[in-house]
Amino acid sequence: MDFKSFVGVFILASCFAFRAFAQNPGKTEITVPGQFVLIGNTTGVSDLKWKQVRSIFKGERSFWQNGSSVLLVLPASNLPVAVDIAKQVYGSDVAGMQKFWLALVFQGRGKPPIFISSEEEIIRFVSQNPGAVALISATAKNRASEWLIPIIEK
Amino acid sequence: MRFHRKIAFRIWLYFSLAISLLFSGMAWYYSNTQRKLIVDARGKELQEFCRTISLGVEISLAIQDFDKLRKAVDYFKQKGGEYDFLLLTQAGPGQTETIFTHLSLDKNFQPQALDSSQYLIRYYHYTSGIMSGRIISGMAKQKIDKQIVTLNRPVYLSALIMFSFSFVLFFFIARSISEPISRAIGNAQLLGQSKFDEFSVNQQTSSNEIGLLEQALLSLRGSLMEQQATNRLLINNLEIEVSKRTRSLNEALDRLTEAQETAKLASFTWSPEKDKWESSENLNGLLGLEKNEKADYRSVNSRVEDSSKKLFASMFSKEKDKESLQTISFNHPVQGISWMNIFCRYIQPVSHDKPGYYSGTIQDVTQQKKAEQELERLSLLATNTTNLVLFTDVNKRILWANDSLIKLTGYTREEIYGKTPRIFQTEKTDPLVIAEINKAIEQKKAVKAEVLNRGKQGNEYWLELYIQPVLNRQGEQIGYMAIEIDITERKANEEKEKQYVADIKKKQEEINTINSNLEGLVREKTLDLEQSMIRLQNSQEELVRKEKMATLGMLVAGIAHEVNTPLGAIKASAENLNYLLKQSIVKLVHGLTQPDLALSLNLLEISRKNPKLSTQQEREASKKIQDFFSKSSTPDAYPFWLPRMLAQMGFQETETIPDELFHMPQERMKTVLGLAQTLGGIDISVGTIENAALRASKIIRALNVYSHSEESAPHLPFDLHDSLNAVADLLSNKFKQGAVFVNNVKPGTMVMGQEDELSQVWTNLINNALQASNNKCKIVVSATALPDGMLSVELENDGPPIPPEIRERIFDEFFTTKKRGEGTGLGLSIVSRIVSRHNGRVFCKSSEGSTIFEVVLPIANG
Repeated sequence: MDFKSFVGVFILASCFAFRAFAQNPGKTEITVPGQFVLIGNTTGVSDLKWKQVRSIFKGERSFWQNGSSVLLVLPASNLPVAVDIAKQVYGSDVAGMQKFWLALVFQGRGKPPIFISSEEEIIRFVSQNPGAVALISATAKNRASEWLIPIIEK
Repeated sequence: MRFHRKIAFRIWLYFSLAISLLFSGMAWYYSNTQRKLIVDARGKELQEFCRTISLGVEISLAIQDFDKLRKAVDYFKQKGGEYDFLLLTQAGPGQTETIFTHLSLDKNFQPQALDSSQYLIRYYHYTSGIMSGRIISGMAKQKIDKQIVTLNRPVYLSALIMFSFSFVLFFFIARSISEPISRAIGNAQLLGQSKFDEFSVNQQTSSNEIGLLEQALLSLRGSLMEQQATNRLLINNLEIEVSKRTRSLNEALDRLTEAQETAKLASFTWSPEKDKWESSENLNGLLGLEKNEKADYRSVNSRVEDSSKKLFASMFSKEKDKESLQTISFNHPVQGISWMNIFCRYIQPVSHDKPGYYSGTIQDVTQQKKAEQELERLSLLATNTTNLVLFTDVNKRILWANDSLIKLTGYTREEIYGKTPRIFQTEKTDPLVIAEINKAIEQKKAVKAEVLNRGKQGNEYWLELYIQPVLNRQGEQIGYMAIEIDITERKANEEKEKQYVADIKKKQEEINTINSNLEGLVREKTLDLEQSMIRLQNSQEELVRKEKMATLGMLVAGIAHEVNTPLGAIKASAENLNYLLKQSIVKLVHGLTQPDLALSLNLLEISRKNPKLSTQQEREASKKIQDFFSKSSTPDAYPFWLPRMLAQMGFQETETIPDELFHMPQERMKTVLGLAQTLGGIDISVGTIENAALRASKIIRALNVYSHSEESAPHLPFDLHDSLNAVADLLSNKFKQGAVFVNNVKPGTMVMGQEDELSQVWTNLINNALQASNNKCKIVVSATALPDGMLSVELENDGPPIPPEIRERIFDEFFTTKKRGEGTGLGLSIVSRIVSRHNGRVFCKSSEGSTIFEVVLPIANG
């Protein structure tokens, strides 16, 4: 590779990096002490408080501030992270989390989340659906940093 | 016209009512069915909806896909409140079902306050790994009712329209058909009343059913008019015929009434429904009713005698298609009991107006009945009498015989009827008696005779005959009647009696002869008996003496042995003494110093206290003393014979021996010891002689006591203890063979009596016990004072028991169980006699291992 080529590649890489940085300006990833992080697509929010996250995942919010519908995504019960999420968000075990959503849907009071049995699928689903928001394990593979929504306080 | 309107109105009314009922029923049925179908359909719809929701819940919980449930819930909402509520319940195994959540468009809906009577409710179960329960949904029944009302409304409306139309239609129909019908009815009534001239004829009859009816009536009118003319002709002829027949019937009726009165017969009819009793005129007279009294069932039944009431009632209550003829007894107020033959038959009803009735006749048969009863009584008398009754004709051929005759002769009636009584006669029958009977019969006189006849089986029997001719009402002889009495037994008794009298006379003569001989014999026998009695008494005394001597002899044998033993001991001791005195003493005393003699006497004194040693003990003592000497410091100082001599004197150790013996020379030592030993032998021999003499003296004294028994000796107090011991001494040789005698009577127990005699009592009782047990028993004697001043002396032995069957006989004279020659059988009888002489008594009780003789004797006072 000659120098020109090297400079060209560097400039191109810098441009991509800058673009990514520009889309999530000033966001810092905070890992919740349940070893999971929040990712979202076109949510219009730069960060969320933990209280807001719980409110969203309890179906209390239907739309983002930018007008798009909130599309909740949760790991299926077979994933280890589901236990932590159920405990931290719903204050119960996985069955209790399912009962919570069963009651809500039965009463017609909420749009039910989509349960996906693979974190890679969750990441892919979030990346393809604007308004989608999901909680995944902090160690999940292939998680792109641009979809992270920092949780700024516990 | 008015009649015509009335019919028209009635037709219209009936049809309208029928149509209204029809439509009302249809409307009711339709609405009811509709309601059921709707409720079923809505219920199924609800259940299906519950099932859909249930599936949504199961999917949500199983694969965490809530989309299906959400769509189902959206459907519930879209229905816009058609379904009133949706419940999700939860129930674990063994837990009460609780409402998990619910959905209702009504914000005020309270699932806990659900009133199930107001809702149509259906449910469906769901199950998942997380939870299980039911989906329950319901809708208000009020909504269903509204729907039903909406659906039924056109039904009711169309029913109303159709009813109105029918109402109007039937008005016109009724109006058009009522006129010809009313005319046809009027014409039919005129035909019925035979008013043919007033018959209304319509010229324009229609071709329908009513027109055909009018034409038929017209045709019927013509026929009836023709028939009427014919009938008038016939009636005229009939009237003539009827008047003729009525006349002849009246005549017949008069004759019948006359015949009925003659035959005491009445006819009757009786209808159960009307209880109407119609009868010929003479019925009241027959039954004893008042002439004008109306006869009915009750009044006729009141005359029926109680015994016939049941039979009478059965005639009028049995199956109605049967005839019955019964004889009923009535209570006639004048004639008393009367019998009526009632024949009765039920006549079946012809129509409703004419019910069935009983028809029959009643005939007074009282005279006939009385004659029958009389005849029956006579027949019974002749048949059942134990006497034999026989009727013959004038030619003596048998016409009738009663049962007793048949039974006695053994012939059947067929065998004797038509034959003469000669058939019963035998060669033994007395010809003179027969001739006498025949003579009386020829003279037509009654005759009485006794004859011997024979039956068919050859059995002979005696009869007492009473034969007399039988005359009819006209006084003509029609035969003979014989009444016969069986006197066979009487004849036999008479024969026996004669024989008895003859026998008695003969026996009396024999007795008189015997009596004269008997007196001499009695005198001889009395003399013999007196002599035998004297001999017997002598024999008895001899036997008692012999028994005593036998006992004595037995005692003497023992005594000889007993006396011989101490005499032997005395003899041996005397010989020993002789030897000691002659041989030893002389040698030993020779050269003996005073201190040595003192030492010998000292040793003798000490040795007397030593026990008598056996040979074995002597050897052991000798060895022991020898060991002692050999262990001493100077064993040679003790001669070899010293231990043996010391042992023979009863020494078993050396401590009691004076030391000075061992310090003297051996020769002197031997002399001193020899003297002591010899003196000891003399001492023993003298003691033996003394004891033997004492023993012999004792036996002699006992024998003396035994031999001095006398019946006449005075009764004196004596010591029972000593008396028993004396007897035991006499029998001591037997006790040495294994028997044991224990005298538990306290010394000083005094008894009043002859000691000698009572010694024989004790001897006999003890001796018996020893003999029975072969000298191997234990005899224990004890005495107890009784409250009546007597003493009970019990001699108990453990020998073989006395068998119960002989226990009562043991005190009898000459009763013995011993072998011939061993006993006289007088031992216990002597015991009994001696005790009786002492005003005492003796008892025996015996069981296995214990035989007790109790002798009760007077206690000596003071």
